[in-house]
Amino acid sequence: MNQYLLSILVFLPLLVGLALLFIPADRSRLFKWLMIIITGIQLILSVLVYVQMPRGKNVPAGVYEEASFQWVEKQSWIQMELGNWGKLSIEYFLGVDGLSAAMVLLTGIVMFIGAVSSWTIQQNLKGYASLYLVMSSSIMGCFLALDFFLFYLFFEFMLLPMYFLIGIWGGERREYASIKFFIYTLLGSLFILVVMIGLYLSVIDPVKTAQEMELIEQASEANAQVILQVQEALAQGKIQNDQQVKTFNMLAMMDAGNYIPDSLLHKLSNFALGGFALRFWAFLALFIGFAIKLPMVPLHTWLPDAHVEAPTPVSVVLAGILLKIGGYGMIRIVFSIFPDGAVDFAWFIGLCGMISIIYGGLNALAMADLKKMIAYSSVSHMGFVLIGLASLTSVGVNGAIYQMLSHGILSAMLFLVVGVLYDRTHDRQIAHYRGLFKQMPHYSVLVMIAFFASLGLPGFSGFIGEIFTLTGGFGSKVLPRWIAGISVLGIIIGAAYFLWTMQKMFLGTLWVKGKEDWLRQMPDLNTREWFMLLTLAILTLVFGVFPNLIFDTSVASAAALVHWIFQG
Amino acid sequence: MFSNTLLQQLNAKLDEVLGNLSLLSPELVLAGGILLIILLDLIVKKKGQFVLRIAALGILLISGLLVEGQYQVAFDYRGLRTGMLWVNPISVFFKFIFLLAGILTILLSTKQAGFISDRLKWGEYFALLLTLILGLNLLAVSVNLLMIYLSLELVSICSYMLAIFQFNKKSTEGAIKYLLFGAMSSGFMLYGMSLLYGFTGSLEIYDQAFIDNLLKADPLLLLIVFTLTVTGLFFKIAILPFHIWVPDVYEAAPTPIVAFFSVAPKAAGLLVLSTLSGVFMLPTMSKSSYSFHWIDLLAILAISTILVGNLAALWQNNAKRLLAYSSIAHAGFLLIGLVAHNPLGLQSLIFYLGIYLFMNFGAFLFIEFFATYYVGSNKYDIREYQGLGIKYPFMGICITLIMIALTGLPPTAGFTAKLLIFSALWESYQTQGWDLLLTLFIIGLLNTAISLFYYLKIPFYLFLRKPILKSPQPNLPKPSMYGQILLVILVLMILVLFFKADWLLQLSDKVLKEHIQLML
Repeated sequence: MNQYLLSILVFLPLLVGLALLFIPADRSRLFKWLMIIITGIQLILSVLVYVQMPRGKNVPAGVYEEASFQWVEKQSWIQMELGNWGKLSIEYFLGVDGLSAAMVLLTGIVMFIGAVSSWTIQQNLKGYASLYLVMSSSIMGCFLALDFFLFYLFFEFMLLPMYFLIGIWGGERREYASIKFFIYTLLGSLFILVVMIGLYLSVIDPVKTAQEMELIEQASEANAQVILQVQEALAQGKIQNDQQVKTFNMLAMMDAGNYIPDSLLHKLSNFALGGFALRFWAFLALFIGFAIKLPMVPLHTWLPDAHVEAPTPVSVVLAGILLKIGGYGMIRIVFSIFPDGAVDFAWFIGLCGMISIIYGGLNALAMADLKKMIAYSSVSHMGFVLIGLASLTSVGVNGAIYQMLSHGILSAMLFLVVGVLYDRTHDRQIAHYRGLFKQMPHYSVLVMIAFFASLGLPGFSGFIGEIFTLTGGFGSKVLPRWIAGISVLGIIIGAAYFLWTMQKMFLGTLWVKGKEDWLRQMPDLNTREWFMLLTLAILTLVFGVFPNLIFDTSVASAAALVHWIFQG
Repeated sequence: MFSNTLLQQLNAKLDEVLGNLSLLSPELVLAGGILLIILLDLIVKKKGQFVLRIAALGILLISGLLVEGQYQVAFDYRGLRTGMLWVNPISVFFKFIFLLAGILTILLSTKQAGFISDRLKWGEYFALLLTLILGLNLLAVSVNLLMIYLSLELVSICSYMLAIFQFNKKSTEGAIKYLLFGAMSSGFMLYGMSLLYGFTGSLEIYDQAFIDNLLKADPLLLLIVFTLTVTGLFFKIAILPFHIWVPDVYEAAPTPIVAFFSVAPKAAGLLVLSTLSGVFMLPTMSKSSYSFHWIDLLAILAISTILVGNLAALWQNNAKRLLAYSSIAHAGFLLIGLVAHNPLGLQSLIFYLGIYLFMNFGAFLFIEFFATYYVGSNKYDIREYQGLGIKYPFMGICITLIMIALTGLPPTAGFTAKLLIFSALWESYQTQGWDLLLTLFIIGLLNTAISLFYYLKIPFYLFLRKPILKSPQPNLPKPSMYGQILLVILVLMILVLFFKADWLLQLSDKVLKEHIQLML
């Protein structure tokens, strides 16, 4: 069981999702329960993974060292001969370290909450449930894959269920929003694909190459000495073409010693394009690919459309986890494989983060639609992740991971809040409601918790995330101070739009646009809504009061990553 | 005395011909089979269609078995060659593709798969199809310019006739266009070949004299001659600017035949093109005074073919025309394998063709099957698919997977094929450093995003739009088992070859390694 824990975590929903196709379509309650049960199991398993992670400063960190990953599963998947160009090896390679543990936990939580909130979906539940479960698999796969091909497979495969989930169950302009989402993110992933092709043709797997060279017989015999021997031979050009085993293994891509000397992505390659080394362009392409997913201003324009048109549970998943894959991809792939680029571009990334924070915030301030406002607040909050990452300090990277988790929980809560209102009146205009506290007091209290937590009130998780990323930004050796300084304004803007919205919608005398008709349809929260919102509220409070629950697992890995970047 | 030596010579010649006959056994079976089918057509009247189909399938299978035999021989005895023909591992592999495409075409030409044509003459239909395959088989093994031209003409003439087989106004128009363009391009080709003969005094492309004399000729003039020579092939592969016939013919011809056109002649054209460009590269490569290179020409053609195919496809609402433009774009992607001009390029080309066979047959099967039973008056209009995916989810999922594969996204083998072909291009760029290759690389990848837009149109109408008719139509049949199973097999191939890409790759690698050894 323990040995295949990660595989079960990834593939359980997929298998059930496919099995659903054989159940008659009219058993809608069964589909709803199955969705909740399966994501519930996934949640339990991800908590199991999380609590067993090593904690503290001096524990195995993962990042670039295979031995210190947890629950590693490594199997040869595709081996093929490439003409005269050696061999290609694709592995089924899963593992968790401090960088991904929090994301795995978040996926478990948000997918479960999303499944519970899917209870209100009416039409064609069979299709919905299987798409939702398939998507759950591919998201989990993204956070666990350590082989680039495998990662890319999960990364791309996510788009298709998402396209249909928005396109079939979405709002009025769902067709436009879904195709925009699909093409936008596909464009991003093509940037990633370019670099993936370049990387795998430049990098060899030292262990498998050693086997080809007949230095060792079994992969298990490999040790540091053998690897060093292979790398030296490679640097001296002593390994023939047909003995080189090219690999998609991300960890092999991180080690500069594994690059073939005359390959274009080698650190010392003389090759230049437009006056810059190809590594420079590769870093930029990868960064843009993940920045679209994050999303970073000015590549964010798909997000408001997708969010507004998506049904509530899909919005929850989209904001709660899908955006995090952008941030996670930057840590795991962009920064780890191109540490040189990370240092060179830190100011640029920081600047983009700052612009995202301010621009997203100002846009949120101007929105008349509650869901759009929250969508833009996501853009703003994800900007903090960029600041934390770009600071290249241990505090900042920890903060970025924490901010992703915190935003995952809070944005899920915020979109649920919108969903509650939308389910009752089918109207999301902020100006159409006033004084809701009198009509729905319980709901209003939970909304206040969500808003205050999001605007960064101490005691809730949003505060910790913002403080740590900004501290990282101020203490950074590579970022100018003013970037973090201006970003602080983002917190004030955030406070402005959340408080303003709260004042307009929940305080004052009761008035709604639809008058009596609407009020009749507006009872307070039901049990299911209570359960979802309360769970998330408790989580944000717990993580806000005990931030070490998260930091303990990520601190060693974050430090290792920063050390890795500056050493490399 | 004189007559005696002549007799001896004749005897020796006869022995050689008889000895080499084994090289041609699959083709001989095909030729015999064609006659058999024409005879059968005269004899059987009742159940004629059924008998003819079984006979045609049987002939293809026997021919396939014989090709399998050649495959073993080709691997063991390092190829079999005469002055005209050369049976080598790669050509044997391509023969398999043609035969498989032929078998699938026959399987698609049934009522159960949605192919209904009352006025069709089945005897002629199968006989022409087999002749077409015979021509392709010969084309694959030709190493002599004259032989190439003759087999290409055999292919062309059968194609013109098959294109008209719906026997309506539209198909007449399409077939005439096809004939005119085809005749023009083969005219160019013949002109180019005669100039080549003038330069070299030889028609055998692997003849040492042929290559030596080419190296002596003026490179710029050669480039023009080469371009003229390959026009006939460009026409078959549907490379810009010889692609104009494609949408009209695809729209007008019987769908199984269209599926065949979109794969088999393309594959044959690419094979011959790769052989020829191997030879043509030598003279343009060695003279550095001319900065323009044969590969440059191919690269520019690939870029423009991909662009034109994709951009034109964006505006199509007719499913067959959409797939026609998509097949033009794919021709551009296939050409990348030749532009890369390294072993990996050829290997990925073979892999791509193998996958493309399954994808395209799947797509055309779906279109015809769906159009016949479930779509209203406007048979191939995609907009008429509205909401049908929800009603027939199984078929809908299958076609979505095929469209995803055509776009080149995981988890389908379409992705692996694109990944390999772009890897080959990257390798080539890494060794050559030509900016044109990088341009091709970037434009090719960007076009994947563009193509998604129109490939998604079909799933979009199937699933995202509500059905037009509120009340269920009364007399819609259930999807036939036969059609569904055929579709599932094709889709499974696309999926399996993603998860186990090694199976096809190892084969293509073996073929290629053998082939390279032979060339040295």
